[in-house]
Amino acid sequence: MTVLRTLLQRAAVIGTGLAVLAVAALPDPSRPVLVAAALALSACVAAAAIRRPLAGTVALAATTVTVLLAGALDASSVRPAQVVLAAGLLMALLAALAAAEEARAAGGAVTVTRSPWPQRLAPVLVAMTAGAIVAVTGAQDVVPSVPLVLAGLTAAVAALVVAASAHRTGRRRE
Amino acid sequence: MDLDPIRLDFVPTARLRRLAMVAGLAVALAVVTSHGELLVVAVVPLVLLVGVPRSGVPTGAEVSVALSTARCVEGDEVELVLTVRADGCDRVQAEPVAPPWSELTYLGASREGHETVARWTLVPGRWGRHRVGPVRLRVHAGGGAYLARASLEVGDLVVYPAAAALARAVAPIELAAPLGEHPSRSVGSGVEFAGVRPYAQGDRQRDVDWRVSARHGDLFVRQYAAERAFDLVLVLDTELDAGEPGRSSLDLTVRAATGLVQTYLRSHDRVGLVTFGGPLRWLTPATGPRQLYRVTEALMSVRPDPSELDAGSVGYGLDHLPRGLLPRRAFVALLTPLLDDGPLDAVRLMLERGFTPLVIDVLTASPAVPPKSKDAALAVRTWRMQREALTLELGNLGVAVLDWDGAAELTGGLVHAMRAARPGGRP
Repeated sequence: MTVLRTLLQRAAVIGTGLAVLAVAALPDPSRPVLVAAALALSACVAAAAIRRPLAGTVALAATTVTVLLAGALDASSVRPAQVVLAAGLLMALLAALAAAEEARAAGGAVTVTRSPWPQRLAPVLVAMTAGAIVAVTGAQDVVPSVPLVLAGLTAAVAALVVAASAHRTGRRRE
Repeated sequence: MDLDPIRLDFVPTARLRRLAMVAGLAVALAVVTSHGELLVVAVVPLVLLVGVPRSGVPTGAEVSVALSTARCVEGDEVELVLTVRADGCDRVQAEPVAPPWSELTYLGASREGHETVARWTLVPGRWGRHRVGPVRLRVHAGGGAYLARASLEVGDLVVYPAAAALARAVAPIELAAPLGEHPSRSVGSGVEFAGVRPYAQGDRQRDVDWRVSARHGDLFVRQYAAERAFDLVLVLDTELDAGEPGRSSLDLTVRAATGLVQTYLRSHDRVGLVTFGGPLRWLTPATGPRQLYRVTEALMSVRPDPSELDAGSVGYGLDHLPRGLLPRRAFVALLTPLLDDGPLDAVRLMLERGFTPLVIDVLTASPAVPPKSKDAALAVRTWRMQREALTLELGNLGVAVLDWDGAAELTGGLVHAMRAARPGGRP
């Protein structure tokens, strides 16, 4: 049973990684995107095999960079729904990596209590909805202007700062 | 159940750093390449990060952990119960550390109000005083972005040895101590029929055997065997312990001793105990439940602890055993793995003092021989020959050797040995 669970967790890592790359890179990828996708897939396979946090972080970073490169280099062929789906699948890859690594780190520990699944799923749904709203808004046919672009980027950086401050702590890292 | 509060020191996990990394990469690339649509990739992790801030993570939980009993016998099932109340936490994982040579099985968890009760079954496979736990907790919070670890102490579990199987308390024919339950050769006031004799002045009317009297035309009375008690002294050789844990020679020694002590004390016999090989310890023969507790406690301390092993070898010292410890006509049983000359010296000492002991060989294991190693095979062969020589020498001294594998019934072997044994006594 444990072996089967481990296999499923590894398959989930590779599967979600492949899904992210497929959604982001297809149908007409450029050479840099293809190279990045190949590297990301290799990193995902390595992360699934060894289940170590560093390998997982590298795999996630490589996959994220591939998605972003595809969005930047093939901007004309990437649709908003594709980006939202890729963002959602990136979160799924993150969850799959965490599950595989935790199973290795926890050893023989058993889960004795867990919060109900609506409570666990709610933040993800809210995040996906927010992403979809941003994608739809970004896809509106408006005349681009310097103040508008600056405002958008400033808002993104501000959100990053707010998110960082929400988790600022003096404690040591794991 | 009363729960104890514990402090949880949450630390960020890889998930938190990865969310920040994805958001940071997306924002950075969006800024560098001036592609605003890439911000969509940053929005999902950013919302997740803002949605579960550090301030929302709890700082403590309430837990309790307990064993269903503090004392048990080898093979008994003991329940380990963990009760957790962790409000605001996503997930609680627990991993109890089981003592060596025991099996731990997770039974499941149930929700009782705000608390979760998780149960494990612990089956100790070896006697001794064992430390159970700690129970290691992993508490996840903030959507998996934070993790706290805690360690809960459980306590000690005293595991008494399982008693060897004995169908009944057998005893030699020659018994000295009065007021017991074993029928002896002498005539007395027991319940076991011993014969008939002609009626004499003063005999009770109810003892008259009317059938025999009618056949012979004269009065005959029935006679009954006297019921006597039996003195058993167990001598345990604890110097060497060989074999796999749970079935080692010391395990079998203690189980056999426990079975003998329980059976004979139940028959109101007197039981004494001597351990040698490590520190010389003894208990003078006595009967009753108090003696059972004394012997059990003494048996629990025959396994040398590391400090005793570090102190070096301790001489046998059986010659320091007080002469008065072994009552006249006591039956001495020596439990030993017969791995060195110590048991032979002990037998010689007993014979000098007028006791013919029964030797119970408790070694069931033999050394593993590496394949294709002629030297090892020769060494094992030599070792077997030494053991055979030791057994032969014991036989030449008139001492019976009973092999016991830990599973067989001991009564049969004891009956033959006791019938053959010369009654002990001081010369």
